[in-house]
Amino acid sequence: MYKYFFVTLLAISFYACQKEDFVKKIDMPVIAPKPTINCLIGEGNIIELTLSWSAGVPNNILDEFEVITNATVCFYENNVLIDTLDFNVNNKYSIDYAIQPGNTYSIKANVPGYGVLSASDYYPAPAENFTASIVDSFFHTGINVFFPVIRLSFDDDINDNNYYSVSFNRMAFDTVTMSYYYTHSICASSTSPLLSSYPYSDEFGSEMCYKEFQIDDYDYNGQSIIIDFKIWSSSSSPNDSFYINLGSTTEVYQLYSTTYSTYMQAAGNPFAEPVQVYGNIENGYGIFAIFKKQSMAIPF
Amino acid sequence: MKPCITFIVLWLVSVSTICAQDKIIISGFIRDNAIGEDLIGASIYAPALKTGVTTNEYGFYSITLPAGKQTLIYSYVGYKSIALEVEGNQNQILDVKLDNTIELQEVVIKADGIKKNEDSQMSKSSMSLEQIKRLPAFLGEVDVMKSIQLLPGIKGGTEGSSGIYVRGGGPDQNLILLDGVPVYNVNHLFGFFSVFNGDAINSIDIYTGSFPARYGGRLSSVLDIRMREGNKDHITGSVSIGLIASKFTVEGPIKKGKSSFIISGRRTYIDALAQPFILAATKGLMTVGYYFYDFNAKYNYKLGEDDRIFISGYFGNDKFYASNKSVFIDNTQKEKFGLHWGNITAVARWNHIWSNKLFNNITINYTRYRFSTYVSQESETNGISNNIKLKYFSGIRDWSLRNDLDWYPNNNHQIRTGGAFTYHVFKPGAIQFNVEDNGSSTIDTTLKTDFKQALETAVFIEDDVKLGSRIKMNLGIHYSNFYVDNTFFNSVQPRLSARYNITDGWSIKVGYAAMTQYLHLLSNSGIGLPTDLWVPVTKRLQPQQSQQAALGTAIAINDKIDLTIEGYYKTMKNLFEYKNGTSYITGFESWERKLARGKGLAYGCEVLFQKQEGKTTGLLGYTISWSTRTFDQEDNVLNFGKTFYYRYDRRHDVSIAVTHKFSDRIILSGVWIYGSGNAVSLPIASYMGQYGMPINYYEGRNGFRMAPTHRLDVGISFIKKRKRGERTWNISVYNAYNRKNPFFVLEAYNTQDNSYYAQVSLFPIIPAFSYNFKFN
Repeated sequence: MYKYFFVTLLAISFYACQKEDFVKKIDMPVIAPKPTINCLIGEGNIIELTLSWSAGVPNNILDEFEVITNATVCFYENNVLIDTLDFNVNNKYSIDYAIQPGNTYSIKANVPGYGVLSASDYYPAPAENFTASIVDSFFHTGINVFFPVIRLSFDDDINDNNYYSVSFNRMAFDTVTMSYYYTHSICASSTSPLLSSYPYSDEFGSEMCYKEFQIDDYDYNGQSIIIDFKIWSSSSSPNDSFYINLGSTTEVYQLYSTTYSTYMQAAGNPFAEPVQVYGNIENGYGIFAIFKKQSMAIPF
Repeated sequence: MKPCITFIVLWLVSVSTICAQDKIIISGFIRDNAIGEDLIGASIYAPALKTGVTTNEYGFYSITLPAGKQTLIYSYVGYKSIALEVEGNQNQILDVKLDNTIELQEVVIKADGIKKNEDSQMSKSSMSLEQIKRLPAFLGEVDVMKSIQLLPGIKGGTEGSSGIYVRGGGPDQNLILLDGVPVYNVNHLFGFFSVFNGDAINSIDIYTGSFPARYGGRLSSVLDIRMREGNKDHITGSVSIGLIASKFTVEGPIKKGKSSFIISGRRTYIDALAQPFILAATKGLMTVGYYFYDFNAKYNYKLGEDDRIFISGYFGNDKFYASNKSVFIDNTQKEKFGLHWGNITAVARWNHIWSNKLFNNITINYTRYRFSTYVSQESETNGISNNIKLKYFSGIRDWSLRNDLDWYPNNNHQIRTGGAFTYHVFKPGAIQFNVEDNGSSTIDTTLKTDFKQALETAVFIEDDVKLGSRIKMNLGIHYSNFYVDNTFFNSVQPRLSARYNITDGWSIKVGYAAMTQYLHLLSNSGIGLPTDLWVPVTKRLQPQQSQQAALGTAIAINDKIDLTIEGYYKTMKNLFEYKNGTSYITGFESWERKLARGKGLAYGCEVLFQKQEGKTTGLLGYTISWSTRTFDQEDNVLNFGKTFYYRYDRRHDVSIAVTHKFSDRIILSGVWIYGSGNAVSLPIASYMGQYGMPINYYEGRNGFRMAPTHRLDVGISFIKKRKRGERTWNISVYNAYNRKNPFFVLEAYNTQDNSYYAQVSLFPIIPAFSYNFKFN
């Protein structure tokens, strides 16, 4: 009896004495690389798409996302082939084509040795009766400056589930070229209940500032949308102009935009809950989405 | 409606039956003969009548017998049973004292009680102090919370954590009562020990389902811990000196037969032991320390034959601190960081016996938990000092009044009813910011100091009913309401537990319980950090609710081995998780906005073998279970609305505990546990994002499994009786084969600056010893 006891004790002691680190690398599952498509179609006629391979994790080496140069990428309008995209010097696939509101567009990328990736989205109609103007100002007590309050107004189409995005940016006037150029985006805040899923104020009762807002028409389908925004910026030059951008987007775009924005905000925070960025590429990673942007200049 | 009225009428008739017949009532208290402690759940059985009752939480019993001569058998696990003959035609008060025969061959962790085929209650386990003490110790300390994690269905969190996860529920879903008072944070040493000093504990009852109606307020479990009252016969005590902590207990009568007391205290000295080494290694520039202490006290006084009062209390604190000093040519800087948390409970109780059938208990209690963390920087340049200090603190406190009535109309009914009223004050989080410039305070402000008040009321009624010799049921209703921020919530919660004796040694049990919880615990980490915030329900964060059904069987395989098998199915709603990208310390939005609301599902099967007698005793427990969450409502979407595994979903759990008594002086014990890996969110790939930044891809929330946890703990006790008492040397080895179990995952870097995911482990093999002397 004691013999077995001591043998067991020896075996345990022998096993216990084997060296093993307190910090041990985790054998992550080996996932075969998948192609990634990134394509957001918005302004202009040039449609550009990037196609690259995914990499393992954790990864902070951009070179590992190898660009795929030999894929065949087809572009469809309402399931009718329009053309294939050409690979250009910018390492992107592109096509010159004017998309039309109300149509569904899709892409299919055939990657040699891998297979076919596909995704689709529709081109939303622009919001009607889009207007914006300065209606008020508010005084920022922290820096003793008056900031403008912009009222945005447009009509929602009753027939569809509609999504919108709102952003603001400053444009400065170039006296040489005699044109406006983009300088930077501007933060704004709003307490409108029309906004999707926003904390309007922080724990201290102050309104929270964002660079882009998302709106959906779930509760306001077919109605006139009126939202006031406090713009956290003042004019630094009489020639500066201020732009409000109203994007008519899709559910795909909104999901991607909100999750990507959350992902970037949480990046680097070890205490933050992980963020899954939305993607709609079948058989791959990435995003293919379409939006229609309307912009309006509002002089300070 | 009609069936309901019919049921109530039949119930009333059943209760009043026999009352008018020629019966006598034997009532009294059952206590330990040596020290006078009340024996909770002791059995009183009349074999000729095939009927019996059990004592309540205060050792009181009442049994109705026909006039004449009857034999009553008084028994309790670990005690010598006695048979007494009672005779007469008048009611009698009969207090009984039983001898403790725990020479340890009878020590076993026992689920379902000795009366497994008598008790209608399923999903219940009971443990005594002696059972816990014989398990291997962690760093010389035997821990109550760790011990109960050996029972199937009760899982620990990560390595070293004291938090428990019961049948798919979270750590906030456990009602932990110390002498009837809720304790909100039971962790010392970041969760490695619990706040319960084993020397002050009398009994522990754990319910994981089919909750009796007298309990409410949490979804997943009730841990009812009763403190000892103190030796009523003579002054005694014990001193224990361990590797990292020491404790003492003193107890005894104040007035023999009338009153007694017990006080017990504990403190660590890790900081004192480690400090010289840290200072030497850092040349006095750095200090790191941690300590905890706790103190339990209880006093009871017998006012008369029918009245007793009890006063008990607990307070304990933990403090972790670190500081770093930097010295420059013309400037010195000192950074400090600290965590501080602690509990206080206080309870006063009055027991009154209205009649030999009616027992009353009135309780007033207070409980407080608070936590704070601070960061400060002190700098001095050319004699001018500047100090910046940021402190975050939160807490919860309750005042409560409760009344419990135990009515024993006849042997077929044991009715309990009562109510409780609680006033809660929540302080979910406040920030204090101080800036001092050369001794003058330039900024001294406290932000977000609003606190929430809430009123909670509960009433209940339950009946332990015998229907013939084979069927016993516990039926009850628990009603509660909660008022906060001009919003009123209420809930009716039916409860049922029933058993059917197929044979004397084999029974089948079923149970059902609906539960509602009005408090939420915001916990951003699973490693037992005390950064947990207790918050009340709001209009947006509705009360959590669950419904659980259970079916099981209990079999006495032979006179030594018992087998219990139990399956459960539990649905939960209004559960909360932090939204993607949020954490408790980032972002400025209110805590409400950081949470998503969803539902959960848990189901599984638990098997427990126990050997109760002989020189070798022990248990083998196995659980297979699934626990998922679904958050798919608008503004509350997680994992894109798809169902995902709960963080603490562990497919398999095994626990084996064995105690062998070589002789009266040597006892060997061992525990082996195994648990499948927890579910965590780790990316499995990365890809280039639209704007040129890499994005990690997750195969679903909690889609990655950590490595399984398994561990062997062994301990040996050498006991020797001395002239003035008994001394025990306890030697234990925690994690005997040095398994590196996962604690958490982080992103690490190798020497080539390449990053990789790594599992961090906490405890290697740890031998420890403690010396205990129990004096007479």
